[in-house]
Amino acid sequence: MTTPSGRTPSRLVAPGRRSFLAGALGASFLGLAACGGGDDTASAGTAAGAGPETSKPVVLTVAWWGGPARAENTQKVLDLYTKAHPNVTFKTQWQGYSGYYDKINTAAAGRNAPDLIQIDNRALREYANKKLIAELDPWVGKTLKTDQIDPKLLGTGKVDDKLYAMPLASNTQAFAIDATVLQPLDLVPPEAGWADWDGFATWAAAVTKASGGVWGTRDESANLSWMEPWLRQGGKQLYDGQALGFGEAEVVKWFTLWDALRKSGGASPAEVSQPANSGDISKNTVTTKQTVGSFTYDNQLTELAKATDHQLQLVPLPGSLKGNYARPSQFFTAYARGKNVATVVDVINFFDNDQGAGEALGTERGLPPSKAIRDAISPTFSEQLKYVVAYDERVVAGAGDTPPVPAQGDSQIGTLLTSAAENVAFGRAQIADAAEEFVSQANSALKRAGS
Amino acid sequence: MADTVSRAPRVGTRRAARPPAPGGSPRRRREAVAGYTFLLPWFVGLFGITLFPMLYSLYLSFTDYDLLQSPQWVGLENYVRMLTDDPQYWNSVKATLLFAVVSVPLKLAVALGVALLLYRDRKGVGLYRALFYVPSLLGGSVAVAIVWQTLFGGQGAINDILSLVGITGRSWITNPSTALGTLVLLAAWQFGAPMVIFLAGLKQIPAEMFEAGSLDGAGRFQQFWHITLPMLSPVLFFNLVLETIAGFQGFTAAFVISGGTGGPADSTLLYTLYLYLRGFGDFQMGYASAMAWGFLLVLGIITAIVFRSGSLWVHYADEGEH
Repeated sequence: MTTPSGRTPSRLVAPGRRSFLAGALGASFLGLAACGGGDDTASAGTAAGAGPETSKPVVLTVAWWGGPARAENTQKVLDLYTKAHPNVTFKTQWQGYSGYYDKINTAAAGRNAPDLIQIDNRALREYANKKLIAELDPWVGKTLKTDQIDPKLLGTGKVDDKLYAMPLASNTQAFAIDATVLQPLDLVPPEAGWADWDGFATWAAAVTKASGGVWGTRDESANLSWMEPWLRQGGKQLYDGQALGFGEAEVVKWFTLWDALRKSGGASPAEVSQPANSGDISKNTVTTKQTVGSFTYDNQLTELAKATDHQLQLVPLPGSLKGNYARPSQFFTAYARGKNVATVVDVINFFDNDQGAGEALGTERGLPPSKAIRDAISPTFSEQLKYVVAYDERVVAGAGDTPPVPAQGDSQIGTLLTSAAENVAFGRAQIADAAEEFVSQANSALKRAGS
Repeated sequence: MADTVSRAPRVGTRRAARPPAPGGSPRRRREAVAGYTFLLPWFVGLFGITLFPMLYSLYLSFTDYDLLQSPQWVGLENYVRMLTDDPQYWNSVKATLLFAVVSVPLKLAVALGVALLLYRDRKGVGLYRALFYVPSLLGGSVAVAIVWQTLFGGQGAINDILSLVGITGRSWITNPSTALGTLVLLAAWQFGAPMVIFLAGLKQIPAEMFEAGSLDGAGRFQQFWHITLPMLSPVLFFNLVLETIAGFQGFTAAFVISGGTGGPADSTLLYTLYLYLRGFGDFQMGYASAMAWGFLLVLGIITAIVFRSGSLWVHYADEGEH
């Protein structure tokens, strides 16, 4: 646990060269493995900045969450990599967001996690602290090129100043709207959205009334990701270190806001909103045509547009743009116990810094993190991708600072909020009681996770 | 048990060389050796796959274990937290109790009802028995749970049917007041196994009893109440015990239908699902182990109560004339 990986490079030969490793390292590898759940087994795979070059056949497992569009794009990049390095092939696992981490955790518990793991900032601190993912610093400047990546974005992949995760893309919060429904009603909001939440509420209620059955917005009260920009608009943060950055009063206000929206008819009722509370994009209520709008990330327009025949647009979330921030949409990380960490790092680098990869990925995961790639491929983008880039640049220009990596145990806080918000929305709990229980449970969960 | 046979007894011969205790002739000893050799696969299974992991989980239940780092001893902390500081835990207990208390009797009633319809030999009755059994074969599968999710969804077939008779449906699985009900229905629909056992039990009841009953002027209901039920009670008891234990362990359907969350509003958060989410979702395997042992204890008590109650209502035909 103590020695960060890579500090004792002399001890090990180039990892990834399995032929080399097999005999010489076999014994020490076994010895390390026998140490069991404890210490720094990770270092076996993460010796200093060695290249990925290996002629032995390597099969890497790659895991991510997402929809069919992402699966297609990712596969294209992996194929490109295999074309350049025929000895490296890939096995892929992808699924929706809900249950994704359970599956990774279960595999990790069996010491059998995928080599290349997509994560978001919700899991970063947990995975880094538990040494599930390898520290990437030893490769920086060698296999891993980070000079084209905005330092602020790169910083979101660091825990305690050590790089554990490479941003695959950046995105920002947005409100996706169904223009096909709104245009005939003459209710398309202005490009800049709404200056405040009251204006948003009025608009949402008007849409529901005019459309006759399609709600103006999905009820987003259960999602911590959408509460965060709202908190930031009020000058609060999600976390203050390893504690909540807000209190009961804010939760009450947040629940009340959505309660009023549900009562005015502007927001969808609980049973319509509930399926998407787990975060699965396939349950999005705009693509199921149950609501005109839903909170989303700008990059998700690709996936959403693929799932509907309607025309979709993006406007900023209601209220001040300061609530928004440029956020790492996903990271790629290397499983610390993987046998080919060096090759994995090279694949990660390929995703971020190869032009062909950038073209294949588009903005489905978010904007390319490398400035050079972004500039090189932007002209080739389709109209839809250009639209996303323009939205992102417009909003990020006025956005607030990117917050630090969320506290450890963040996913539990998300679950607790969902449960509290659902209890309120279904009328099973009073707002004040639900808020009180949420805050007390959240604080004790954070304390436990941090200890 | 059948699958234990397929577990390769690799240690076989070496272990078996140790002579077993009972003395006697060399031939008897040889037989004993052979006996233990044949038992070996089962012992390996019992100790390696059942007993050791169980005891290890007992140890883990007193630790803080995050799956990736070594367990840290915390004494009774997990148990204390479970009982005093985890409202979600009690939500899961409530949901599980409700699920078991409704689904077990319902399932048994349906199974008995269908068995009564199918136990007389009529033309094609074998086919019907097979057909009614099919849902149980599919029962634990993910596919059926997904079908259920679709059927009872807001835009599902159930609502289409209801709208034909003028009832406006709702999204059954995303509403906390009906979500658990759909799970109960799914469980009750899988009545095949107890049905087959009931069928066997019904066939055991001597026909003369019914003849004698009808000669004495007993109607159909009286025959059922005074002959069928008492004669069937040992079978009913057997089914009740098995189904109670199975009912408390429901997982797959709740997991699939709620999208792995136990939602909406924790209404389908069955005990085992919550245990799984804590253990594998939140890296709290120590806590999950404590939950598992709490579960074992309570389930043991419930089963014991059911067994005790048996003496009050189970009638064994060979108890002689009273």
